[in-house]
Amino acid sequence: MTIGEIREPSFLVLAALADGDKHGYALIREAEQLSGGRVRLKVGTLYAALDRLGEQGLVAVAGEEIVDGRLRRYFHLTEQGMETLHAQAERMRSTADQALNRLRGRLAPAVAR
Amino acid sequence: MNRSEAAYLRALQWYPREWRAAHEQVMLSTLLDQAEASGRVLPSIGERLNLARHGLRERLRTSRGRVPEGVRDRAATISLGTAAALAATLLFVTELGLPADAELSAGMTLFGPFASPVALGYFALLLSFVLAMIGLERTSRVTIVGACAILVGTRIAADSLGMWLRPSWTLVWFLLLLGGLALIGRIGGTPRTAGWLGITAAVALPILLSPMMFTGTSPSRDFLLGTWPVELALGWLPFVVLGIAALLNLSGHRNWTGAVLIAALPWLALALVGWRDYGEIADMFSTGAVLIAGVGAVLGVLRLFGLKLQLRRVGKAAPGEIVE
Repeated sequence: MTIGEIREPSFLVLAALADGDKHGYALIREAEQLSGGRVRLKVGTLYAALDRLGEQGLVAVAGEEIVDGRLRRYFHLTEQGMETLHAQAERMRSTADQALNRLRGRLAPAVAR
Repeated sequence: MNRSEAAYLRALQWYPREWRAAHEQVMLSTLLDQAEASGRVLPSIGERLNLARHGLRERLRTSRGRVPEGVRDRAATISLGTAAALAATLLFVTELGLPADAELSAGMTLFGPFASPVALGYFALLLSFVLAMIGLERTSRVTIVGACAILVGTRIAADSLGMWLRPSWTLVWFLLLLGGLALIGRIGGTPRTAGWLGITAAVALPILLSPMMFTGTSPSRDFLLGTWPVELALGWLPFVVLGIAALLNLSGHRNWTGAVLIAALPWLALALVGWRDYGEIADMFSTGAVLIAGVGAVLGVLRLFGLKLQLRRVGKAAPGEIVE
């Protein structure tokens, strides 16, 4: 599978877990924050992504607790998940850098005018 | 349980039972957290649709995973082969045969040389068969979906245009079931699978056409008036299918055993529902419901026989890649 087929929800979930374990609703808020408010994950989408990432060994369940009568399940990024997130982030940065470099030559005269 | 919890639990009913047993309470908590933060009590339309979409996808994913790939591919091959043979039979017997019967077609609205525009759906099914045979599998799959849409659309159009020589909804639904089964696995693609596809169609075609040899009058008229309805002519089929499956199983061909049983589902259902009074189930929805109930009944019987379906996981990610 190529990088072009990676969907944003999975990447945002991995990125949201990069600084520590989180439960479902915390992941939704983190993903929204990471995307600058652009992406608000729906619960069905979040758990489908977590299920897939779990099957691939990138995310694992860290534990469960009951808070105010509600069951919260915490997830954490596995070693493989960290490597994958790092590799994806590097690829995305490299692609973005190349795109910006190409644009720079065309945007500069337009801005100067 | 308050009103909000009850509403969200109802919205989670789209997910399969196994999924709900493992995740329902966690998802419910997240949904309630999100609802509170948004100042809502009941699920929004967007949330309901999202849960329905992912729940159905999960149901499809788990049910698809229960049948091994080898069985799915063979069942799809048999289904497309028999669908093509049936389409060719119907094209010849009804679509071309009925208008050729001058007495029968007198005063009837026709579709050129054909009895109805449903002939276009038969052509599309035959085209998908040819495409699979020459290795254009993806195009063939798209054509099958298109053929199903054409079958339904033209059948409705034929009614509204007063073309009474059109096929029954039983046959249209039956072809839709075969088309659906043809999509559950790989069709054609390799010389070996294309060979099986061709053999299936070559065996099915003479069997389907054979009742015509035993009719004393015009075969097309017999077909229309019900003296040769496919479903009654196939009353013996369940025994033959079970016999073939048993022989294959005894000879160690487990994949073919499963494939024959799966591909035969629409035929068995047709044989079961065919014993009902034909006239009472002639409309689109009740016919579909009865046929699907027939498939359910057959599946139930297979379970009683202890047909064991195994879980199989497919699509492992390579390191550094995310599989969606």
